[in-house]
This record gives sequence, C-alpha cells and structure tokens, in this order.
Amino acid sequence: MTQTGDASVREQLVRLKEAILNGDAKAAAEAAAILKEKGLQPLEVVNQAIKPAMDEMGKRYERLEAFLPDLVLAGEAAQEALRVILPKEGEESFIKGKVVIGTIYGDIHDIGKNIVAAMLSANGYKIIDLGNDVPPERYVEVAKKEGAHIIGMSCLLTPSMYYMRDVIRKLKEENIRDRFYVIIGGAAVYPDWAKEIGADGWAKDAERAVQLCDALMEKGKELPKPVILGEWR
Amino acid sequence: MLPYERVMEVFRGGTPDRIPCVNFASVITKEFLAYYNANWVDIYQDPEKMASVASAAHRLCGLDNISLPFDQSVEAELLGIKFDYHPDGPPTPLSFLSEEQYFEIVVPHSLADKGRMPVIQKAIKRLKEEFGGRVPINVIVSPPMTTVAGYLLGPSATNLMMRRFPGALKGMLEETFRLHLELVNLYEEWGADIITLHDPKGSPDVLNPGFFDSLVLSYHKSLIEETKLPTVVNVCGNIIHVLEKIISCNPSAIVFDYKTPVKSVMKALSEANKKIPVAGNLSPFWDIYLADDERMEERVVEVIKGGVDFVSPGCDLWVATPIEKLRGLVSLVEKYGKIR
Repeated sequence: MTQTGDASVREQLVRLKEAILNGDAKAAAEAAAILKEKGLQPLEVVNQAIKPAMDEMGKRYERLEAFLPDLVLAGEAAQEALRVILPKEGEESFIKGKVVIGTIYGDIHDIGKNIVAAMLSANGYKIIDLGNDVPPERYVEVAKKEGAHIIGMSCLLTPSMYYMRDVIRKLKEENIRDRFYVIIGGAAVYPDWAKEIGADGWAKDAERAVQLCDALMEKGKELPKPVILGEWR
Repeated sequence: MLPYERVMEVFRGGTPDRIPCVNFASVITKEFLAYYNANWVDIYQDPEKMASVASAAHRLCGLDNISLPFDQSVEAELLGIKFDYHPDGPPTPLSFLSEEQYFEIVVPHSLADKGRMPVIQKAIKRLKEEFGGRVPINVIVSPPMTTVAGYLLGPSATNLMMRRFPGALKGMLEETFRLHLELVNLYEEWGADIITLHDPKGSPDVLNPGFFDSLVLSYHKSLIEETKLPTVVNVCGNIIHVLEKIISCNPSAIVFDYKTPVKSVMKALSEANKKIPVAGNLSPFWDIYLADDERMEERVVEVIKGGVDFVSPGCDLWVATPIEKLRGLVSLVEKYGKIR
C-alpha cells in the first residue's frame, strides 16, 4: 500500500483539493485517478482531500469569499473525483449509507439539493440523485429498489412542500416506513413541518445535513424524532 | 382615500392618509383558491378565476393592491418551454434547455395571443372593469435572470454557465430581454397600474455580486426606462451589497425581505441622497403565517417606525396563510399607519 507521506502522493492530494476548490472537475478526476493508481484507499482520499476541500469551500461561502456557483462547481468536481476512486465492486464496504435524494414534485430548485448531495458524497455516502420535480411515488420506488437507508427531500416552493407528506404517507401505506429515515430541507420547510409530516430529521444546511445523516445512521433508532439541526431563518 | 389614490400618492412622493398595506409579489393562498373554487390550473386557464384570486387579498382582507399572475413561468412559456400544470402548485418545466440550446430561443413576433397572455389580458380587463381607479392592479414580470435560471436552464445549470461561459449566458439573457421589453409595454397597454420586477434569481444570495451589474441590474434599468408605469424592483435575500446599484436605477419603489434590515435601506437612500419609496420587510412566514397577534403587531410597528412607505411582505404570501391573518395585518396597518 502506498503511504500518504509519499511526496508524489502528497502532491496529488494537494492537486485534488485545489481542483475541487477551483471547481475543475477534469483536474479533480485526473488527480483522483493518479491517487487510485498509487494505491490510496477511497477513505484516505476522501479524508485527506475531498472532505477538507468541501469543508474549506463551505467556510469560504460563509465568509462571502465564495458564492453559490463556486459551491456548485466544487460539488461537481468532488463528485467526479468520487466516481473515479470509488470501487465498482464492493462499494458497500466503503459507504456509510445510501441516500435517495431529490427536489420534491412541483419544484425545480436543485442548487441546495446538489450541494447536500456533494457534501454527503464527500463524507462517504452513496447518493442516488433523482433530480428535481420528483413525484412522491418515485422516491419510494427507488428507495426500495436501491435498498436505501435515507430518503432526502428538498423544497423551496411552499406549494410543493405538501408533497413531502405524500412520500411518508406512501411509505406507511406500504408498511415500510421503518425501513428508511426520511429527512427534509430547503428554504420552504422548517422544523415544525418535519414534525407535522412525521419526518425523521431536518437540517438547516449541507454541513448539518451530513451530521444529521451520521446521527441517524449511527443511533437513529434511539434518537427522538424529528432530529433538528440548526435554526430555521 | 381609496386604495388606488393611497398607493399612487406614495409613488408621486406625496403623503397618503395612511401607509398602504400591499404585496407586490404573489398573493395566492390555499384559502383564496378554495373560496373561489379554483386550483392552480384554473387560475391560468380561466380569466375570471385568475381575476378573482388576484383580487382576493384586497376583496377578502383589505390589502391595498391587486397582483397577478401567480408564478414566474409566464415568460419562459412564451419562449417555448413546455410546462406540466399541477392542480396543487405552480407549473413546472417538463425539461430545461441545455447550454448549447441557448441559441434556439425564439422570441415570438407577437406575444398577445401566445401562452397564457390572452388569459392575463382578459383578467386585467375584468379587474379594470371592477376596480379601475379604485384599487391599483400590479402585474409581476420575471426579469431575464429569473426567467433563465428559473425555467430555461434551471438554477444549477445557470450557476455553472455563469462561471464557465459568462458570455454565452449574457447572450441568452439579451435574447430573452427582447420579450421582457414587449411584455411591459403590453401590460401597460392592457391597463396595469404598476409593474413589479420580481427577480429572486437575481438575488446576491444565489449570485456572485460581481455579476449583478451585467446580468441583473442592466435589465432592471432598461425595463424601468421602458415603461411610464410605476415600476417596483423586488430582489429577494440580503441585498445590502447591491442596494446602491438598485437605487441608481431609480425604481418607483424598492421591495426587500426580512434578510435586509429597514435601517440599511434607509441609510443607503440617505447616502445616495434619493427619496425612493420602500416596501417591506415582513417575513411571509414568521411575521404573518406563524405570527401570533403580538408578534405581528410588534413587526408592523417596527417597520413603520423604521420608515417604510408600504407595509408589505418581502416575497410571495405563504400559501397556507389564513385569511384571518391577512385581515389582522391590514387592521394593524390601519391602526398604526398614521403614526408618522
């Protein structure tokens, strides 16, 4: 196994981190491919380059040194690197959990959802991204098929938030509600809405969405629901 | 004073009998729809229902204006985007254009008989017959950035294009802008009293402020200059860093939401030595929908003392807002609106 102390490996880790911060998906994929070739394990690449880069981008965003387009591009570059380093076989042994994610029916706002997906990927989750304007039954159908652990729904338009309730209702109708954690986020939804519709969690932003998934995957059965991370405003 | 005189007096720089209580953004709620036995499809196909729901906030709650249409997809539909109409919410595009398709955008020669325009025209006519000269009719226009980011390319692709191919994005905005110019002229011809440029996708919350001048502001300025009607600018989110620029366009009023403090807007106006009416900055969720009587009263008094010329939400009404809450809001403005 290659040591991460190896100078050329260190150089590629820095290159990968910079590529993500620059939103350069091609450079990120190239650096990731070299690291894979040198024998680095996916978790090492995530912990030493992808996650720190995404964390740094989050901090720049909070300091108004980066803007949403930068976050979106960084997320895309991170996803590209992950596609390269994650093994095609035996992927499950690496991932923390599978998340089916999408922007709810009637809503096409996907920037926040994409950032959450990128952050979850960078933190070891396998993401099945359904895109936007996703009908309630589609979440359920794909979550069942993929054996997902978590269903994540995002919403920015208030008329669409009501469809989130339909997802949970459908899970109950099929007697599979306990099989998945359901989490929600986005500007239109708030902690009390999570409680009202019977979701398992709500997070204010992408960083907290990762913490929420970690908490649910580690001790979800013991936690009182919904788990609320952050304040809505 | 009648609501029309009250609102127009503010635009003229005069002093009305009290501060108007308005919303220049969408005024649709579930209770309004139920009251008129309408859904989201009806209000885009039936001029009568469109007019009824657009005037519901005035008719049932006493707001000082009427606003239509109810979402921001009218422009994109005119540009050829196909929509899926849902009974329970605004229409969504069946698909977005790819970056390479931007040159395929075609602005139709005559807009009046395209898309939802005939319905809007009839609804304005209907409203004019009932409320002309008594209640101002506000028509919402989605400027180029919201049209492109919201419905043509989609939010994420627009953000990526902004970074990768800003020239191409600018070209796309320029092309759609020809439509916006014709739209404001049509609305003026059809009898609208106010135009609101509602540009959520132009918000500095989602856009690098470095792009604001070129991709957002230049179109606001041109649209303001194009029409003789009072033209209100409503950019969502925290707009402190672009206030000076918005003020420089000389809009008839500036609407801002709760993320921008009233005192910041007043300070920017004072520094620019300009007197432009301001409307804000109640949160449709916290200060109206969820607020108890005490909180709503506190916030109404706060914004009035802060110096707003219109008490208004900074964005669309929360769709679940009960009629009673809006009646309560209007009563508070009637009570405290004369304190200055």
